Amino acid sequence: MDPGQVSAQKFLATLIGRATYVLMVVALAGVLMGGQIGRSLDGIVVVTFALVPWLRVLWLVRRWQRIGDKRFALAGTLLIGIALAGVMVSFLVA
Amino acid sequence: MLADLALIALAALTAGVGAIGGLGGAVILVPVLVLSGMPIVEASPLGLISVVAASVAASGRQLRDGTVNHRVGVVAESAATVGAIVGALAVGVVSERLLTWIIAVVIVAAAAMSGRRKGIRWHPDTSLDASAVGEWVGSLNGAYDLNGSVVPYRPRRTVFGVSLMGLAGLVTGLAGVGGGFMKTPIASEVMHLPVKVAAATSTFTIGLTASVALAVTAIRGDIDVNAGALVVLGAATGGLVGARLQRQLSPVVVRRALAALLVVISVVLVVRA
Repeated sequence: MDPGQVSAQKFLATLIGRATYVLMVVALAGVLMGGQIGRSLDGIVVVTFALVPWLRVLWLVRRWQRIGDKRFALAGTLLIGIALAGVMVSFLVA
Repeated sequence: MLADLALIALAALTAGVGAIGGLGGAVILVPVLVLSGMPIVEASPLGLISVVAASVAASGRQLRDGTVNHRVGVVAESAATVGAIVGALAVGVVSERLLTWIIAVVIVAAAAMSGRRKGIRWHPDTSLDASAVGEWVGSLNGAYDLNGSVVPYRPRRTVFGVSLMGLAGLVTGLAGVGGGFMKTPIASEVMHLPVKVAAATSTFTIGLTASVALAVTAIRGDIDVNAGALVVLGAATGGLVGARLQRQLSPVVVRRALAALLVVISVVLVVRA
């Protein structure tokens, strides 16, 4: 078991929870404003939402490294590498 | 305006239902949008946005409950992502119709496995306190909270399960569908994770898959961000509500709901084919 896990999970949960509400407010503002500004806000919301899961993996990798769980830190790094390779391959094929 | 509200409501409903079983809502949302007249090239990215938004929104509750096993998720997702890349590169090798039927049969089999089993596999351990809830360092084991009791679990047949996750990724890459409807049953019925842990972990991993697919779609420039923001509003709300609902339901109810949803999804897939 990991003694710092409960506080770490609470921290991550709070961070993601607040980010979700902020992004929902920005999305609502974008929808209501419309036009170029609204479209820019909508774009920011979509891009940020897409980045959150991978920022979470980065955070996990750092945390696992810090507590000495090297095997899973390596697995997380590998996953990020595989995903980046996938995006690169798609870019090249496109 | 009415169409915008309908899109928000639809995204909320499908994401909420998807969050309960860790399935993602796109597999229902996209066919409904297509049936309502939206071209598939516009509907698919909206499905991906709904999966990412619901995954992120649900994760706050699921992290507090300690039901997400990130270590299982990262290992399984590595295999699934490799499979998905290979599948995406091999699109066209298998006919789409045959692939859809194969997926539908796999889903019905998964539904039968989930629905047929009675009771719960893992039982409370009174020697453990609340600090044990969550995932355990250096292994894929963990524990979750069940009505105030701590229930430890230990994944079984890990290599076989992770290999199946790779195959699930291959199928999702070939068919261009999300993989939650395969990942949750594999984690629950093959690897013997508690269904709530399997669903929460699947919700985490499908967010990763969908965000990569979204990046690939963005490279092609096929995303309508205005409609995307509407879907975000609905799907994030659905994700928040679905995660809360999942917490209150018993594992047996979640498993049966999952089985029923899987049957609905297989019917939707066959109708699409």
